[in-house]
Amino acid sequence: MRGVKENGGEILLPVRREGFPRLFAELMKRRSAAIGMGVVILLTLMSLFVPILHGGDPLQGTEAAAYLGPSFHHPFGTDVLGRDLFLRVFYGGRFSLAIGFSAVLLSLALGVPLGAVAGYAGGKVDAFLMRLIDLMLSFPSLLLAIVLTTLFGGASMSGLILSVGIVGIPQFARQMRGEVLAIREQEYVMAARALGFQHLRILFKHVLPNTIAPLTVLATLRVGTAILDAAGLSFLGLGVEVGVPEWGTMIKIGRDEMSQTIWPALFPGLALTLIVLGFNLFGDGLRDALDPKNK
Amino acid sequence: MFIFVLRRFLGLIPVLFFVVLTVFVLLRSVPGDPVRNLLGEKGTQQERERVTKELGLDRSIPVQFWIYFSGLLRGDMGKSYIRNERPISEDIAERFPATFELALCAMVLAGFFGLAAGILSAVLKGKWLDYFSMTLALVGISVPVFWLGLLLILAFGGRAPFPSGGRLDLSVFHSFEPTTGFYLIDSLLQGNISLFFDVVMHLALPAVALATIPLAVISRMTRSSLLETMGKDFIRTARAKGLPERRVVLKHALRASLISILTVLALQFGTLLAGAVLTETVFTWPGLGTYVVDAVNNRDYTAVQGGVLVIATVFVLANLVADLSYALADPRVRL
Repeated sequence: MRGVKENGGEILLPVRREGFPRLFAELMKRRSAAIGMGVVILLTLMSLFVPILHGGDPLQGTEAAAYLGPSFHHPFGTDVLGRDLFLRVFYGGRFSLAIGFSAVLLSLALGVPLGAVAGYAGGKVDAFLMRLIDLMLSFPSLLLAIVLTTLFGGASMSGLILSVGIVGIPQFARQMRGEVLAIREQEYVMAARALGFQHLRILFKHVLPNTIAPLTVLATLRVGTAILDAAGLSFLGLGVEVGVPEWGTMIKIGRDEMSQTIWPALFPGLALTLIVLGFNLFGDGLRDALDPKNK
Repeated sequence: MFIFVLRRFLGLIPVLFFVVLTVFVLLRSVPGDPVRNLLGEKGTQQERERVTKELGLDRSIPVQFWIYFSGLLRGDMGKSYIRNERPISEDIAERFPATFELALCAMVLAGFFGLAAGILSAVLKGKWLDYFSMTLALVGISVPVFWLGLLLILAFGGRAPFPSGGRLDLSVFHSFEPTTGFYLIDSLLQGNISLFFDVVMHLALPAVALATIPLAVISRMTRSSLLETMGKDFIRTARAKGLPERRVVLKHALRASLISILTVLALQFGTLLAGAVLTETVFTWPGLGTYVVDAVNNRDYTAVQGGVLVIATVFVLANLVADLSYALADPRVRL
């Protein structure tokens, strides 16, 4: 929940002046956005609280029989070591969500300044930075992420976050640059310049606040993609450390057990699909709600 | 127009040069001793020295790059030290058609059904079919392709007529001599219909799995672009002339929307190639994707370098085709 709350706080800073309740109402008017938000919040809450309330150990083998089907005691069944899959899926959700949010924060932290500088400075600086971004975009993102994981020394959570985060930089840089280019020509920015304000002050006080809405939309949509990319890398064996039940890894393990039972592969995949769907719906809705044309 | 296309192709040269440079630098920065990575702990001192010399690792980085780059221009991508010094280019020549065939089949599926679903949704906007296909499209872009592949294998794999993986049935695999590497074409060239059928069945499940994301994107794009066009004046005119609705949609509206749809198609093809990495792994498809992943896992960095370069090149080319098709359809872009 922390991630969403923080993110929510970030979204709403500039909009709050017009009223957070209003944005919320706009969002709730869109059924799909409301469903998306609900799914994201529900899965996040369950990832937080199921492992606490369940009381079992998601990593250690148990007395329960292996490969049980879903039942009242084990809603998702059990895996090869008799571990409860319901517990493991939501415990794994902590990692998947943490990886997704951290990777997007990294893309934001690196991409936004890059795009802002390129757009604001223009000229040679802009041309150079954008060539750099174009170069990154000449690789399919998953492929670039694969190469980056080798660079960060193979399977580790930090390596995974770095790889997925770096791959996301171009989107943010481009979006930010586009926004800055548009805002730069606005009269109030010219006025600020004419008053002799420092570049940094103009950038932070006049330009940045107006880019927060589109960046928030992009970030929301990117969290879903980042979780998906990270799961894909883990599925290939290039993601998290052995033993960390992130969803992609769980599907990878479930795949090897598919001749015995389908549940260990089915439920993590279902959770993964739901959370990505949730972020996509939520992001789309947010875009509509924040679009001034729709008011 | 010719000049424009030529200029765009020439513009590709620096891009590809920097792609090569980037991959080279990235893989040279992998932590650890590259020779040790290649030979493992087993290599003797002599072997080590020989490989170091052969790889040119005793020279400076710019010289190393020059050696690699000039080799590339001659079609030499170096050799794999992990698998008996086999030339990488041979591997790639073998693997590339597999990936390309799969991606092409997926593209055909995605293009056909994506267009159909998009057109139907636009025409029947607000009807249940529209909601249904757009919901499906939304799920399509959210579902992890490797998981979907597993579900497909679970539902159909290993049950007649669908195999669970690979490109060919093992019984024919050893007697089969590929000529082009595209098995669909090869089997037809050899006039072997049952083999052709076997190849199609092997392609079916991975192609469907791989097609989901582009299918979803294309149908969404087609729908929105068509809906935008349908609101234009010339459509109202066409209707006012008393043309049948089918003609209005297919002849007038669709043609106007085709530019953006074509662009999406070409862009999606590039994405497909990357998506193939996951699909190939699930279906044990012997393509470039599995090649790169295996090479990464084996720390066979010359092989990674070669595979990544080829995929990135095709990706860049696909994006160029997208650009060109856009320019072809809209003269304003050419300025």
